[in-house]
Parts: sequence; C-alpha cells; structure tokens
Amino acid sequence: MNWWSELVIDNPMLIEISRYRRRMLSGREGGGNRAVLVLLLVFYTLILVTILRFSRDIDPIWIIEFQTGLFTLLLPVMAAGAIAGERERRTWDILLTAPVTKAQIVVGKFIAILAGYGLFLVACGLMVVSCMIANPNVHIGLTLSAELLSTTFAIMLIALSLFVSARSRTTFAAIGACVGLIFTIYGAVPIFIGALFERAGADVLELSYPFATLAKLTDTSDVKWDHFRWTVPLCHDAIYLLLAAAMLVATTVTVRKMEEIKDFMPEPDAKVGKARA
Amino acid sequence: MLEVQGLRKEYGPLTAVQGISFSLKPGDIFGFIGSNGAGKTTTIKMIATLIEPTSGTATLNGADILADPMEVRRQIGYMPDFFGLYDDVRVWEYLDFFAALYRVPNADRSGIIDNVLELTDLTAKKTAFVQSLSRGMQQRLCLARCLVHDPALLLLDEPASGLDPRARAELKELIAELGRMGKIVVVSSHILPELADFCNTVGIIERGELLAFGPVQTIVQGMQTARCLVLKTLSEPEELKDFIQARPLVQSARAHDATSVTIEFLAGLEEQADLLDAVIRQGFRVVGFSEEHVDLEDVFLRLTTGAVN
Repeated sequence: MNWWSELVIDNPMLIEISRYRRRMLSGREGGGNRAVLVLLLVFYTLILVTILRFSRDIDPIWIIEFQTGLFTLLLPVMAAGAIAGERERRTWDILLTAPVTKAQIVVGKFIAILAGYGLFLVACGLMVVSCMIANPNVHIGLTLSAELLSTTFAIMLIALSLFVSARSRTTFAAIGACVGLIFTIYGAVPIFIGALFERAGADVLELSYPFATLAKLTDTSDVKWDHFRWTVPLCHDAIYLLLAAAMLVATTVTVRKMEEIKDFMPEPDAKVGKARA
Repeated sequence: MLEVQGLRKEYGPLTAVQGISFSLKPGDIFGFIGSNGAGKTTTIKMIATLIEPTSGTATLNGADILADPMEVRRQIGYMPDFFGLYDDVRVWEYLDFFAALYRVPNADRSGIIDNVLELTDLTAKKTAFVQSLSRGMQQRLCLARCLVHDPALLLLDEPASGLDPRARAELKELIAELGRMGKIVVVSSHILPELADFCNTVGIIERGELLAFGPVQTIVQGMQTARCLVLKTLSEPEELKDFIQARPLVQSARAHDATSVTIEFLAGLEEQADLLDAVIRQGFRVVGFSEEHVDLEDVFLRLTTGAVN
C-alpha cells in the first residue's frame, strides 16, 4: 500500500486543505468573504427551519435530489480553478519545483476539494437527518442508498472538474467547459434520448441518469422498479467511483505531459534582443 | 556544488539550449546574461527539474536532476520571472503553505517563517494579505518563499524586472547576503551593470550557446586585447589620428567625432605617458586624455550578435 501512503497519508499537498479553509473562512480585507458566509448561514438556517417545520411531509430523498442538483452546479466552480487557477496565477511552476510528485499534487487538490464538499454535505446531511427523525415512514436504507449515490456522483464530478481544469489555461475556461460538459451529459443527452426513444428511452434514463434514479427511489407506484431499487444505485456508485479513479489518473497523465503539449509550452520571449537595443 | 554537463533542450526543430556546461561552488553568485529567447529561462527550468533536458544533465551536491529530481527539488529555491503568489492569503500563511510542502516540521515552521521574514525585511507585513503588498515587497516575499526550506541553490529568473530603483537596490543587497551565507545563487537579468555589482561569476548565452563563462574580471580582461584610450583635442582630429596611427604600440586609431580620437593601445602607463608627450610636442592641443574601461555591457555587446532562436 505504498501508493496509499504516498498519495493520502504522507502527502504534503494535503496542506491544500488548510489553504482552502483559510481562503474561505479567514475573510479577506474588506470582509467580502465574511459577508457571503453570513448570508449563506442565514439562508441555510431559513431552509433548515422550514424543513423542520414541515418535516413530516418531506421525503429526505427530495432533499438529497436538491443537494445533488446544487452540487452539480457548485462543484465545477469549486474545482475548476484547482489546476487552471494555478496556471493562471503562475504558481504552477513553483508548485512543480517543490518535492512532490504530480500525482501527489492532483490527489492533494482532489482531497482538498473533497474536504470542502464534505462541509456542504454535513450541512445538507443535517436537513436529511432532521427529516428522517421527524418522519417515521421514511425508509432509512433507501435514504442512505440515495445519499451514497449523491456522494459518489459528487466525487465523480470533482474528478471530472479537476481533469477539465488540468486541460484548461484559465479558471473561467475550465468552469465554462465543466458546466458545458455537465449540461450536455445531464441535460441535452437525456432530452435527446427521451425524445428519440420514448418509453425505451425513459427506461434507459431511469437506469443511467442519477437524478431519475433518485426520483425513482421515492416512487413506490412502479412495481417493475422494485427489482432494481437496490441494485441500480449500487451500480451507479461503482461506476462513478471507477470513473473518478480513471479521471484522476487521466488528470495526472495530463499534468505529467503538460510540458510536451504545445498549448502549455512556455511562451517564447520577445524576438528582439533588448540588451542590444 | 552545482555541475551542469552538456545540457541541451530541443523543441522539435528548434534547439533552445545547445549543450552548455559550467560548475558553481557554494557562495558563488552567477549572473546569467542573454537576450530574450537566448535560452536562460530554459536552462534555469532544466536545472529546476521543470523541463526535462533532451540530453546532458546537472547535479547538485551529487543529486542528479534526471535520476533524483526529488532530492534536487529539496535543495533548490526557484523564483520564476513573474510573481507566483496566492493573493488571497496572508503573508505568513503563504510561507506556511510552502514550508509544509517542503516538509518543514510543524514545530519549526513558525520560527523559520519569522527568520525569513526578518531576512527579507517583511516582518511588519507578516499578517498582511499578499495582495496588499507593493511589487517590491511581493518580490521579496517570493524570495522568502524560496528560503523557507534553506536551499543550497537559488535560481532567480529576472528577479529585478519591474522593480523601482530602491527595491532593486534592496534586492541586490539581499542576494549578496545570500551569497555570503554560502548559497549558490543563479541570477538571470538584462540589467548588466547591476549584475556586475554583485555577481562574482557570469555566463553569456546566445541562441542556446554559452559564449563566455567565468569571473567577471577574467571575462572583461579576456575581451581587452588592447587598452582603449580617448584623447580629446581642439586640433583637427583626422590629422591627430594619422599622427597617432603611425606611432609604435598603437593598434588602431580613429577619429570618434569632431573633438576626440579613440586609440587601441598595446602597452602600459609609461608608454601611454610617452604617447601623450609626443602628441603635445607635435603641437596638437590636448584637452583630455583618459582610459575607457570595458564593462560587462561592452563585453556582452561584443560577444553577442542579437540573434535569437
């Protein structure tokens, strides 16, 4: 398990977690970050109070669906700057001359974003748990299965965003590419399949589309789905985790080969010998 | 000890660095001189393990950049030709991040950060946000970042670019201090008089080829086959030039403008005094006679053609 020790336990890049925390929580000059944090906290408290008030009528999987949708939009924004931002700020070269491997950099950044995601997950989890406690009819197993699906999907999204970030020159381009990609895969493609194949298309979507699968977990009217209610989310989990691992490997390979890719080659200096001038 | 052996880098048909070799010992401050595109940054990046050389290698205290890049990275502090700063953190947080990256033990970090801040005169800015620092301070912070792990070799690519005269003077003093501390410092710059002030060794590079390498004085003297004298006169300079040209030990003479003649002279001070005496005896009216010293900039301009890759 040398790789586990090198990439996770003994990875100096895990200091990135502290940097993220300091960036997000210490508050910049002028208090811009603090104001946003306070607003978020107020907004979150309002939602939590509303959920507690009506928790008997709310299925926690609805919250998990909402949480998944929110993360689908937020995670690319959080992760897209991880490598592209370093390149943009021109701190990338400095990072590469530190005694850390490229795989350690990629995994360190992945874990740092995962830690940030974990914070949001705890906040959403509090709402889910509130509903589960208040509503005796909730199926705990299915709710946990939905939460697992949402988490593995988020892990895959982080890895995907990191990969796009490694291929982009600026954070803005990376966010654009990530959002575009996610919108295509989880917006345009389902609409296209649904329109083209009608009933069969709907079945395909229910099996492969995370939001449709989550919705199906709360739908007890479809008897046909009873057979798949446990296995389909688990298949999703396995596929997302495999995709995340593949994406992290691809990101590391991209970072390794970066200097050989023409787009990332150092820009040639001015063609005029200034000293002579 | 830094030993560079036949370092070469090709980008397709373009040869950025053509197999250069040199060696530096602790305390050496090496000025790397060359036009834009000459290959300075590529060479520095190869030593910094950022770019893999096409052939050749470099070793730092026995660690090879190809065979043991991690050990080399532990021993180098690299400052690129731009500010690489996380501007949304405080000064001490920025340094703490890199100290952790270089595996500086947690217990020692605070003391080390205080020391490098004191060395770079940034103690008062310890809790300031990086974005609030002036350009000169940011440059010093970059240097402080290079020092948190006590490297043996500092690679500073154009460290003085964009700095005001005061910030430049402070940086120069800081680099000289680092040399006194026994570190090998490699500095690339276009500002040649500045390099001559604090570098004890220089290398001139053009189109990836190291044209000259060695102590500043040796290189300057090596370029001076003859001493350059300038004689200012109220007489006709063409006439004076012809007279001087015919004198012994004069390699060449040319009328520089309406009042002066430049002489390439192959002898010492005694003969120089004799030449002046002869000129005056001949009736030429002399108002000035001095030796023009060749400096690093002259050497650079003579050695290079301004061609780029």
